Amino acid sequence: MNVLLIVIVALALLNVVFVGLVILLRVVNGRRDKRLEARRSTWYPRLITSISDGSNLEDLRRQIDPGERRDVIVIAWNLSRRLRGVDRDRLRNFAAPLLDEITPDLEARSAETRARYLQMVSCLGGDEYEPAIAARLDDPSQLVSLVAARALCQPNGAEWFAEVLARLHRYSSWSHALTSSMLANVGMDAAPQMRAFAADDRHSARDRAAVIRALELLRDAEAADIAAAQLTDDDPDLIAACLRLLAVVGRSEHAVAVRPFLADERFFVRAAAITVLGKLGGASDAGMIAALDHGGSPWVAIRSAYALADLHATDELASMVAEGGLAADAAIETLYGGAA
Amino acid sequence: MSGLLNAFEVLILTYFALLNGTYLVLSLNAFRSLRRYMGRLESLQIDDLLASSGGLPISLVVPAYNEAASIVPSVRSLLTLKYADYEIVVVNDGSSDGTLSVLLAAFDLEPVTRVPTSQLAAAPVHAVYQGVRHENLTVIDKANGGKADALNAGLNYSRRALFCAMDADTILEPDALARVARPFLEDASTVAVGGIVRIANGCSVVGGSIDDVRLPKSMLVRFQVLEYLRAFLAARVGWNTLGATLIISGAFGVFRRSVVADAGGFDAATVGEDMELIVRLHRHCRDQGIPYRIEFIPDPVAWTEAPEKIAALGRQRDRWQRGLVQVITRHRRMIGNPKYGVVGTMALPYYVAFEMLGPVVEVVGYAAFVAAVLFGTASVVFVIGFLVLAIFFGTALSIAAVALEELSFRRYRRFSDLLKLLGVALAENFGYRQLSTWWRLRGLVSAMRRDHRWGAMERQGLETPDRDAGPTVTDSPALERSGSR
Repeated sequence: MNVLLIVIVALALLNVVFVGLVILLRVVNGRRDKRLEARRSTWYPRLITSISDGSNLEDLRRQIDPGERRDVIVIAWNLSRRLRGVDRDRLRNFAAPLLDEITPDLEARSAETRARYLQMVSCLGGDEYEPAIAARLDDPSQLVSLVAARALCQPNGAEWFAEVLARLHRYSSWSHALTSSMLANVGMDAAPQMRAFAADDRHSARDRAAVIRALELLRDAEAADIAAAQLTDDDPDLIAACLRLLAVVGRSEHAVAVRPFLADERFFVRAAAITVLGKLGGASDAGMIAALDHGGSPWVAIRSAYALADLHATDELASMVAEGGLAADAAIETLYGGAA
Repeated sequence: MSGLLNAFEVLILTYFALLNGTYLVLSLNAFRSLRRYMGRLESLQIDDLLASSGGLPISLVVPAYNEAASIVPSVRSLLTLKYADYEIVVVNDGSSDGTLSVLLAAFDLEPVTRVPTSQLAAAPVHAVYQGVRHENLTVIDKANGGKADALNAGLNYSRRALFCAMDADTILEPDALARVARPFLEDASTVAVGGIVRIANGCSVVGGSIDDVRLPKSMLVRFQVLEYLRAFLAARVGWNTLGATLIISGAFGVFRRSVVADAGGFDAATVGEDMELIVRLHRHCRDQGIPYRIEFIPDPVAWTEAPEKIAALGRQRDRWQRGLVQVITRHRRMIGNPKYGVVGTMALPYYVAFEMLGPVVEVVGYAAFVAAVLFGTASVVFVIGFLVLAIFFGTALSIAAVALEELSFRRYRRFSDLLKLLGVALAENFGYRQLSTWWRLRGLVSAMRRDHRWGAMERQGLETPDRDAGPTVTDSPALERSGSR
């Protein structure tokens, strides 16, 4: 009974302490929010005015109290994400000398903290910080490594691109959409390195598929030959990526390499091949596409109808309509823009 | 007799310790996980991710049954979401109140031929319409078949790689899609992601968006607000850290379309179709050897209307309990099966022991203690002491949930709302918890009788025409279809 009583009293006290902590948390958070808001309302207009009228940023920097340096860095960081060009450069000139305040946090124990401050440093720091950012590509945390890679993959940032490509395998669990757009962000300066990477089968098929997709985003015509050559690979995702690239930048001579995939057992490969032939093929391809058994795949039926429309094969589309069922619906959807 | 009662008491005490120990571990897990998650949100900002990748295309599938009064503002609100590539597929599930004609008139829709991209079982589709002004708006008119059936129909006609299952009266925050899409970008093996569902009663709703977050005036709804905080911020975040998310709310979840279609879509034969799909996805991916992740994340927010009347709330909880029993019965082979990892060995046994059988044990426990006092095997002081202990422990867990909210999102900005929530944490122990146990027990009995009804719910409507006025009645009583457990 005594034990029960002790536990009850302990729990009652715990509840009181919990309530106190929650209230304390609210008070502390409220004060922090007020402080941040006050600093934001002071520094945001000051920064914007100084950047726009070109006044002396050195003077402005001298007005920062030592205790508010971190907050000013965060304010500048948030502002820099909305700026481009000269304005952003001016903001960087203002903020870069302050970054010593946060660089020790790049070594913080928490990966999230390292990643956060790495973002700030990459956003506000100049070229002199690039080696430090590149060093983070090998951070044990995948998150930090990716933040570093994204920071280095900026337009005209081909200087560090090889380092990023060499570590692409670290980001293989991330979606292709993310890695490809990151790589493509560098622009055509990086295309030669990407082509070489895509052609090198020592790299995994998944990584090559991501690079092929980046080349597709860049609409890199020179990558078409490489993509056509990669069609001999076994990996269906790589094949589909190559076919998608060919649909964008392929030439009619690539159709030969694509035709065998009309018979591929995987519907998404078949559908991608049909799309390519719709862009690159000729009259004979229209006949082949119309004669294809869509095997119950609506995607294949839809792609077939759109490919025939691309080839202006109206007779073949009419035959799809006459066929009835899925093929007919796909053809009607294509012919009438979806209207019944 | 006294020996039996003593054994029973020990059993009840052990059960109590295990249950609360689990809650405690989940809350601690949630605390650690939320701190990390908040850091991650700041370390790789979603705006930057989407600006570069454009995000993954999403189809919003919105089942609507007799929603004539509210469907137009709901769709208008969805059309303003901040997301680059999404389509809205509204499924009129055989409404009898003119929902379709309201949609046709409001959005300039025209009939189209559209090829279904999957063949999931669903009631016959009468027609498909597409917006002339809003090409990303599709309306499917079909025979009535229930929410799961409507979701399957919507899935059949959706074209994007991801789809979002939601309720017609759910209010998504403008950045909710962007946030919920994030795990799909960060891990290509992600197949399903659920966001948090919060209660909109009491909030000021203007133009289909939450304008001001407030606690509702109704005590009954306040109890539910606290329950939701506990369920989402403590339990779901806690289970998620173990890789054992078993529920993604029917009010707001995003799925990889191809995987759901391969797994057979939503099951129209259960009233807990949201949980059933998640458990089946775990099973399907494990059976097929597909690498997968099912995630719950707490920052994408969907707001929903909670029942304000006790009878409606009882019916909702009854249905949730029936749904739970159906899911557990259907997937009983997974329980304790190491093939299904933490889901099979921990999460499902937890749901059986504490969520499904919990109300039985609780009621039997009350009876056993009364009997023990009557037969003199336990003192009144001991029994009362134990009840006080249970109340304090429950209160501590509820306060911990409020603390988690305070540490992370702090949606209730008014200090008075915080104090009210803390008061509710204590007050819910006197009456509300017992009622909740009764409803769940009733649900268990209904499940054993194979009752598949959804039950009716009166909705008040969420739109606030005047900032200072409370919610107004915009909707006639409609069949409940939220399932926002």
